[in-house]
Amino acid sequence: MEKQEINTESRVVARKARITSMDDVGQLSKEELADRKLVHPGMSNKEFLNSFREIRTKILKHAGGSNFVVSVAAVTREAGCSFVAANLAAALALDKTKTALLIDCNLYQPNLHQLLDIDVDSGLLDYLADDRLDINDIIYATGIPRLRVIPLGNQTEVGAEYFGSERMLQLIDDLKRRYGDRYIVLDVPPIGLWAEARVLTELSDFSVIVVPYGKVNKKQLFAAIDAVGEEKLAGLIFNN
Amino acid sequence: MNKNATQSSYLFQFLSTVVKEAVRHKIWVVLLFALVSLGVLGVGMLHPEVFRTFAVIKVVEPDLEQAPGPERGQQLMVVAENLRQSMFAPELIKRIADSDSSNASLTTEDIVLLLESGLVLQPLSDDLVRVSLEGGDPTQVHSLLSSLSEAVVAQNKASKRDTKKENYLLIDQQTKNYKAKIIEAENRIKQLVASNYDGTEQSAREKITSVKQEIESNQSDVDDAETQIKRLEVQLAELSKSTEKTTRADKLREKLQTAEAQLEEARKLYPDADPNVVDLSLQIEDLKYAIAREQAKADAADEESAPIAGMSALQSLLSSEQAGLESKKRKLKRSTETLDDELKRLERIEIHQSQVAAVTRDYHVTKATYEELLSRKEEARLAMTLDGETNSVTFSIEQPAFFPDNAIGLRFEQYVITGLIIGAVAPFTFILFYLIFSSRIRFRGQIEKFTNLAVLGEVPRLTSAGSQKSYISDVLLLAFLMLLVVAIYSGLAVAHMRGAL
Repeated sequence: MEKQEINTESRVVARKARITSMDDVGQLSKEELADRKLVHPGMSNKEFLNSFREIRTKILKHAGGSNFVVSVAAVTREAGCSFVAANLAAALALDKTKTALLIDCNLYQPNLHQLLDIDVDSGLLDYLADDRLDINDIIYATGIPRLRVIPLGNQTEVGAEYFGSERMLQLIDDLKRRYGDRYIVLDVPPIGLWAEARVLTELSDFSVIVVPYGKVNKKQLFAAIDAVGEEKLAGLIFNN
Repeated sequence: MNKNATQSSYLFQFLSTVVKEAVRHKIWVVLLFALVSLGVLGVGMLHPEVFRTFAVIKVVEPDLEQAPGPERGQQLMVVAENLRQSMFAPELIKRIADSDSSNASLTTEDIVLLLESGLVLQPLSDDLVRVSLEGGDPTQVHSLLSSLSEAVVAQNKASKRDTKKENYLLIDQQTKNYKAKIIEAENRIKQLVASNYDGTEQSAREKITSVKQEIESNQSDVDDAETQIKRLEVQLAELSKSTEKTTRADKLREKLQTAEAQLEEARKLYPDADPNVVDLSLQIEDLKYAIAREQAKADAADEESAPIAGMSALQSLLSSEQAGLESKKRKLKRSTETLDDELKRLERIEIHQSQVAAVTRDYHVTKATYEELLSRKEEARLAMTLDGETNSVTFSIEQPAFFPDNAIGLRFEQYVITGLIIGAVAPFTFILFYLIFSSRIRFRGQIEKFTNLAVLGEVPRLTSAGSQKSYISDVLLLAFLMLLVVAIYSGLAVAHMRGAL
């Protein structure tokens, strides 16, 4: 028990040190970003870059200029939702006056940390389960300027119940209010498959739905739109 | 304009998706190309060459020439069908097969099979029928159709001669039959005439008339005799009445005497004024008056009538008349019986005459038919001898069969080209139809069409450098495989054209 407390304290100290020195974290090279299929300035695949710039512009227009929380949900699994969410966040972070925070809420396929190559000590679910953890303890640098990430964490077996908790609401509210220039992107599970997706879309200001190539039919698409609700739906993203 | 642009965009996206799917399933595309193209090539290699020739046969038929347009076409169809049936006649086919001049290599079974599979008869115009024949060997096809058309025409001529001869023989036989019937009818008439014992109808009727006159005469005699007898009987009755009046006066006298006796008795008993006496007196007076009157009548009759002795003469005459009457009645009866006999005779004569008339009528009908048959027999004999035109169908070859130099249908070279084209098109066609019938969303236009919601963007497929290299190597491999398929394809085609396959 004592040993566990010592370990926790040591982790907290280490994270504080990491966050404090976040600006000093090395940035990913263009090749690394290209390998990870993340948008970045000077990207050789202009079509890919421009597509996310177009998506970013439309979302900003939809938000009306203020910062926002947007949930990115897929119609079905393996729709490339995390990929789209990460690139959307990266595209939002391209603006040097803004920052973006990507939160991995996908309980069933948490792969943002793999995509961004992050060693995760604590994540969202750890924060929600442990009151002693601070927000800064779960925010990680990504190697992409102005883009931060909150990985899902380790408490995946109890995570589902925490998404609707007061602490989760408080977290989203704090994150949104702390930085007026921060855009928050939630990577949520497939909307048509898991109930958590609906809870998370409720927490966000608006949502976008990712439609994968050749994997869903019209009926599934309408079911996903109904689940989100058209009033909260900013639009659809077709992922090839 | 905007709608057209949207539709064009949708179509472009759809076609792009077809290409994208083809790239995604490139292995299957190559396999399908190989399968389809080689399949078409295989069909071309296995498909036998077919050679076709045809001959045109002219049909001459009086009914066909006189028929109106639409009916003529139908009749020509019937003629063509009959022509086809005659071409399948076993004896005809056997004759062709046995012919040494041609078709030596064709047996009867071969000819039947060839005809069943490749013989087509088609009316061309009002009097022409095209007979076409298909087969794998141009020499056989040409030779068989030539022999067949010539044989059918020859058979038609022979058949017509046979028909005419049969017709003549049939009419001849009928003529003989009718001649026998005429002889039989003549004999029958003779028998009937010979069996007539009652004389002629005229003699019978004359006899009947004579007897009727005799009966009338006899009847008149009987009536006269009866009148005479009645008159004599009246005279006799009148003579009897005069004798009867004398007797009455005597009876009145007897009554007078009785009344006078009663008056005497009454006067003894009653006075003269008594009513009884008066009454009796008056009766006596009346009786006296009556007696005087009767006596006066009798006296007058005696003066006017013949003497009573004439009564016996009258009675004698009456007896004589009555005897004559009986004789006349017997004569009348005999005449009546004679009339009955003559009427029966007349009836027999009429029956006999009707029998003779019936037989005579049959005789005349038979004779008329016989004479007509004689005329037809002469016509048939002439037709058989002179081989003139008849009402039957006549076939002649308008255009003989030609030798087919080129095969019909697709040639092998066309199969080779078609196989490559179909093989290339088939995978894309398959993908096209798959996408049409698939309900899955594969491009942005579908989302916009289905939902009318904003599509924020379309994320293009992003390939890493490694996957790009892998993709290029795959494409190169498939290109090699494609070339290999084309090489095999070309090799097979060339080998087949050179006769190696």
